[in-house]
Amino acid sequence: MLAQAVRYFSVGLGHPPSDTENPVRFNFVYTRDSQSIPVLAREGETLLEVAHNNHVDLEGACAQSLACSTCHVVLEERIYDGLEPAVEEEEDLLDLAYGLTLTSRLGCQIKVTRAMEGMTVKLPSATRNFYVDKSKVPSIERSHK
Amino acid sequence: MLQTFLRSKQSLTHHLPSRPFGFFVAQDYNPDFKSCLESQHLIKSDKDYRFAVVGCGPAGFYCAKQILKNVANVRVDIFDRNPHPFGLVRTGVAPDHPEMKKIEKDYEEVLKDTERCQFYGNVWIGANGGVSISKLKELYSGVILAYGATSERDLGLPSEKSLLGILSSRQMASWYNGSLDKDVLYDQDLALEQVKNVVIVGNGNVAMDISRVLMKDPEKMAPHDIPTPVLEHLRKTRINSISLVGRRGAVQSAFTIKEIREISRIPDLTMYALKQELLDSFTEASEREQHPDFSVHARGIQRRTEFIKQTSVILENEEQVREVVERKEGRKFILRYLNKPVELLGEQRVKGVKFERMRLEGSAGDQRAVAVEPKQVTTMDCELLIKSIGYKSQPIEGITFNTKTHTVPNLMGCVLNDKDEPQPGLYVAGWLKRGPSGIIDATLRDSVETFRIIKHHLDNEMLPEKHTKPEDVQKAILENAANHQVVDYGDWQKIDAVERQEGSSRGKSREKILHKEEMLSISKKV
Repeated sequence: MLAQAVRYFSVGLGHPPSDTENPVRFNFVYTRDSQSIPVLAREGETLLEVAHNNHVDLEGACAQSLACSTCHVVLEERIYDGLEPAVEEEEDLLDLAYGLTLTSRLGCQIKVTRAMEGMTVKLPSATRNFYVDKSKVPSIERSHK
Repeated sequence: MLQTFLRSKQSLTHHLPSRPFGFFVAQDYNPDFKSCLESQHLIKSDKDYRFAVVGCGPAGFYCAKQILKNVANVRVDIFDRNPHPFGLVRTGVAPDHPEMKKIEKDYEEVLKDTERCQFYGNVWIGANGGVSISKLKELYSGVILAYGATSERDLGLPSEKSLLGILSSRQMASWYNGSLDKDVLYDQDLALEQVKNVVIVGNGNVAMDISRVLMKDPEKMAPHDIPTPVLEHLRKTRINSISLVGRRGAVQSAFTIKEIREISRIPDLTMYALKQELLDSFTEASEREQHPDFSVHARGIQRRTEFIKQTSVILENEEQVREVVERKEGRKFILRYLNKPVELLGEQRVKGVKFERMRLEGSAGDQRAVAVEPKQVTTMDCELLIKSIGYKSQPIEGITFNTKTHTVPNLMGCVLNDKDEPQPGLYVAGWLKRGPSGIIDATLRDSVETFRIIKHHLDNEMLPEKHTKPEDVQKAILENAANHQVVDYGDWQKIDAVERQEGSSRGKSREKILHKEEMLSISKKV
């Protein structure tokens, strides 16, 4: 049924959790476009998996193998501070990330917890960075993944 | 805000149950969801568009992906001179980095969209019997050049082309990856069995890839996709030392920390660096380049420099280098800095390289290597010299080319003519656009930038509508070469299946087919 949605390679289950699964709700935002994208996540999913499940345009070229930095995300300070520090391999890749900040992490290495409810995650390397005329698209900005 | 929007857009969202803040989930979708998703294409014009992408590697794929996702009525045809897709992911990524090859799964999804995307493998674009650019402009609304770099920069030294044992990093990568371009004569030129000491000029990541492939235990690479003949040569290879020579200083090292860390972990291998070369690397400008105030990447540069300083065994002078290299036990990986090659030694095969000592001059971010006065010359012995100073793109007939940077002049991806005017309908992406450096992330962003210009032209109706059909494309290909065999995605899948099957029978992920004729004959089989 989601023929077009699952057509492109993705990590994760391919669809967001339903209400009955008591999902964690938070937002992604493309830095060049201030529109906030609400997403639903299961605890333990990586941020990259959440993006793909909710059809948010975030590339993961090496499919979560810690071999690239295309899934680079920028977190709120309070969320960043509460995480386990990155392992050396992740730090090495973050060094190269476009738009690197002091609260940057790789989306494939961060697992969703309840404490992330309501947070905003910025996507500097997202590929959907065009200005979107909001009157021309449906309410939730969804892109194919 | 979203609530109001939801109510006003009944026609698009009537099938969605009312929910706070507009959340909806998979189970709520009805068959209209497909049209709902389709309505999210950024370009919804009723017009029919056709795009040609020249080069089926990462740049080509990311452009195709962007177009297919965002343009409603479109077909994208991707051409490649090889019968296989994937470009440098197949022929460039080192055989001990199989996780990077996973990206092929992502690219395959584009090719699987056969209704809207066609792969035309084994097709040459340009002069010499290929489909011309002007022909492509006739058939397509837009043409995107993403054919990368198939040549290399030269050192520009006498005997460079006549001495045996001098190869470019591109040739090395082609060899150990089983590229169909047969441009390495193993027995005469590479002949690893004769090689004890290697000098690599240039210290980027490809130089690191080559170092690892030459020094790693071949059995560690055996289960992946390294071709068996390559494995057999490596098993008989006993490299004693690799000297990796950079013209500038340690702070300007072109490799990334991930790669140097990997090298340092190879068993029975010791990393060395020279005391004075390290000291001279730390000019005031270099210190500034590592300072967080200088750039957001300074932290990474500093981590890398620290790693070099902490992990290398420091040698006092050339004498100590010689002593270390002459030791029978262990392998040596020697980081050299501030040295520029000036003479190649040897009669038939290279036997050494003369370097001139450099020092750094200039401001932070802009330092150049300048020869020290009085001249200081060092000779490094070797039986194999690898030039790892950059790949180089080649021009294509009909398109302007910058012969200094070896790239196609462009404005954010739109090709410029010789009067510097943008040519809507002609685009460029990848290494051909920005030069042959950068990891996959950079290529991804680059392709997105090119798409942005394409979108701008589409929005402003600057590109012609086209209804070109596959038969029209076939006709164009056969016009120049009557019996030419085109390889499509289905044919590639046959070749792919044979490679994986052959691999499986030998305990490998894949046994690459090394001859074009073999690939073509497999793809012809029913």
